[in-house]
Amino acid sequence: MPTHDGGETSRLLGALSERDRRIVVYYLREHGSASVGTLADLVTGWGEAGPGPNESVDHEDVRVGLHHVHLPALDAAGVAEYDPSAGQVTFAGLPAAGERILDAALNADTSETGVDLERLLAATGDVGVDDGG
Amino acid sequence: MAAEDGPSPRELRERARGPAKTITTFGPEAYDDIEAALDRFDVDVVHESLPIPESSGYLVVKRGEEYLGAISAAAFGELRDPPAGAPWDASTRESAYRELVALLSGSSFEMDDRRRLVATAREVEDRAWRTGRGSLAVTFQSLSAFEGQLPVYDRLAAGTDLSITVFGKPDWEPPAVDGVDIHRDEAGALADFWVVAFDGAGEDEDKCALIAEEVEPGSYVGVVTYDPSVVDDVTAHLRDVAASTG
Repeated sequence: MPTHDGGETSRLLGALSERDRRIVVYYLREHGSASVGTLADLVTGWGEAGPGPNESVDHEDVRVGLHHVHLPALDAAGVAEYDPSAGQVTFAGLPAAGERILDAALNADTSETGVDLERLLAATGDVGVDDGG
Repeated sequence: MAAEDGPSPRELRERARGPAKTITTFGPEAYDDIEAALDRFDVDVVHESLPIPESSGYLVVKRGEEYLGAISAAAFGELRDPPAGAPWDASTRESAYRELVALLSGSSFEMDDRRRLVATAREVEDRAWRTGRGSLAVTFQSLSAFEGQLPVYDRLAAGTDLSITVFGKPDWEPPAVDGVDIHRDEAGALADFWVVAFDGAGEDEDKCALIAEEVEPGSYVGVVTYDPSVVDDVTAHLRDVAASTG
C-alpha cells in the first residue's frame, strides 16, 4: 500500500495529464473493470462525438496508445491494474485527494469552458511517471 | 413479368444484409427516447453508463470488433425526428440521421413511417446529387407517390448531369421533366418495392442503394447498401424492367 504523500499526488496528476487516461479512469471508477476493446470504443467515440472539441480519431491508434502507453502509465501510477495478455484493466482505487482531483478534471473535461487541463496537470505532476514504451 | 433472369429485388435485399452491428450508447442514463428510432434497425443496442452530462453523451456503431463511427447525443433529436428535406439542404445532408443510415448500411430495417423512409432514401439521393453524374433509378410503387417528390427530382435533374429513371404504376400522369425518364409499371413488377439505386457513375465506392419491400400495407422491410455487386444487380434488374415497360 503506497503512502499518499506529495510524491503520490504528483504521480497521480502526471498519470492524469492525458485526456485518454482520464476518460479511462472516469469509466473504470463507474464500472470497476473493462476490456481494452471497450476502452478503445469509449475513448474513440468520446474524441469523435463526446464532450469537448470533437475531431476524427482513428480507433486503432487509440487502441495501440492505450495498450502501449496509457494503460501502463495508469498501472505504474497505481490507479489501475493492466493485464496486457488478457487485455483486461481493473480499477485499483484512488486516494481521497485523487477522487477530488478526478472530480475536478471530469468537471473541466465535460464543461464548455475549455480549461487547459493537460498543461495544468502536467505542470503539477512532473515526477515519476513512467509512460511505458 | 419482366427481368426474370437476374436476382429479384427481394433476393438482393437479402444479399445486401451484412454481419450484425452493435450500437453502444455512453452517457449517464440509457437514452430511452432514441430507442424507438434505433430499434427499427436490426442491431443490438447496449448502454454503458458514464458520468458525463446527458447532452455530451454519444453512441458508437461497431460491426463485430470493427469500429465504424460515433454520433453525438446533441444530434439525437435528428434520429427521433429525421429531416426529410431535399438532398441538398444542409439540414438533411449534415443530419445525424443520414450518418446513422450510412453507419447501419447492411442492417435490415423495418419502417411504417413514410417520412422516415424518405429521410432514409435521402442518403442515396444525396450521393447522387454530390456526384452529379451517373444513373439514379427510383421505384415509387405508384406514380402518384412520385408527385410529392417531383420538385426534388426536377431539381436533381436540372442541377446535375444525372440520368434519372422513375418507375411506378400509372395512377397519375406526371408532367414531362427534362432528364427524368418515366416508366409506367403496368404489370406491377415493382409494385411492392421502394428502390432508390445510384450507380456511382461507374465508381464502385460511390454506388449505393436502398431496397425496401412493402411487406404489409404501409410497412416496409429494407436495407441500405454500399455493396457494389448488389447495386449493379439491382440497377440491371431495373434496366430490364424499363426495357419491358417502355
